[in-house]
Amino acid sequence: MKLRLLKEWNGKQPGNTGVFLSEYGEQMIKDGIAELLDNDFVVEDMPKKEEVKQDPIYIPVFVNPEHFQNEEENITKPKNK
Amino acid sequence: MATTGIINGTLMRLYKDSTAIGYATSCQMNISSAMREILTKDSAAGGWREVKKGQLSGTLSTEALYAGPGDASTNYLFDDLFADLIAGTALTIKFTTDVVGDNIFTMSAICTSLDLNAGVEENVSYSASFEVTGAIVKTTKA
Repeated sequence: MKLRLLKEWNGKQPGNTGVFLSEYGEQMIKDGIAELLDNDFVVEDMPKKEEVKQDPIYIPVFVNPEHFQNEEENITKPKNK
Repeated sequence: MATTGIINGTLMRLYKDSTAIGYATSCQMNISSAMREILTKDSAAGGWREVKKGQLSGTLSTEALYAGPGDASTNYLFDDLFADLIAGTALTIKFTTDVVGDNIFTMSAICTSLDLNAGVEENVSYSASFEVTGAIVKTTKA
């Protein structure tokens, strides 16, 4: 279970949160040391790595002008049926 | 009610006393039995090795993400284990899902190594190893 400390406990400051075994946690709540945040909570949120999105890189590639001429011919020529 | 079927490993974690070892990404418990050789010239095994059970032993290990003193967590963290390793403190460790009806493995263990890893643009992480001293006791959470 996840608890938030209301009082200092084992050198940890009030307001700190953590995961405890339920039996022990229930006793801490009874003793007024902590308050319940989530009864079924087992795993804490782990610090997540920030994902960096890279911008696309455009690399200029030399193309022979003849290539475009051929392209034009292909477009303007009627297709043989 | 006990967990049905195969247990999700995320839910099974190590607790020092009753406090979770924080930011863990994996936990392992190893139990092994040493063998003592009993082959003698009188054995009828035709030269084959013969053994009987010897010492039982256990180890624990965990991998976790690292958070320093600035972390607002009550969980048991690297700094706590660091102090335990230096002092050689025997810790009461429980390995459980904390679900009623599931197993609780309870043992006393000493932290024997800590490896702190800091890669560029990676989370700082660490691994901790423990040697179990005494018996590992299996009970069911009531």
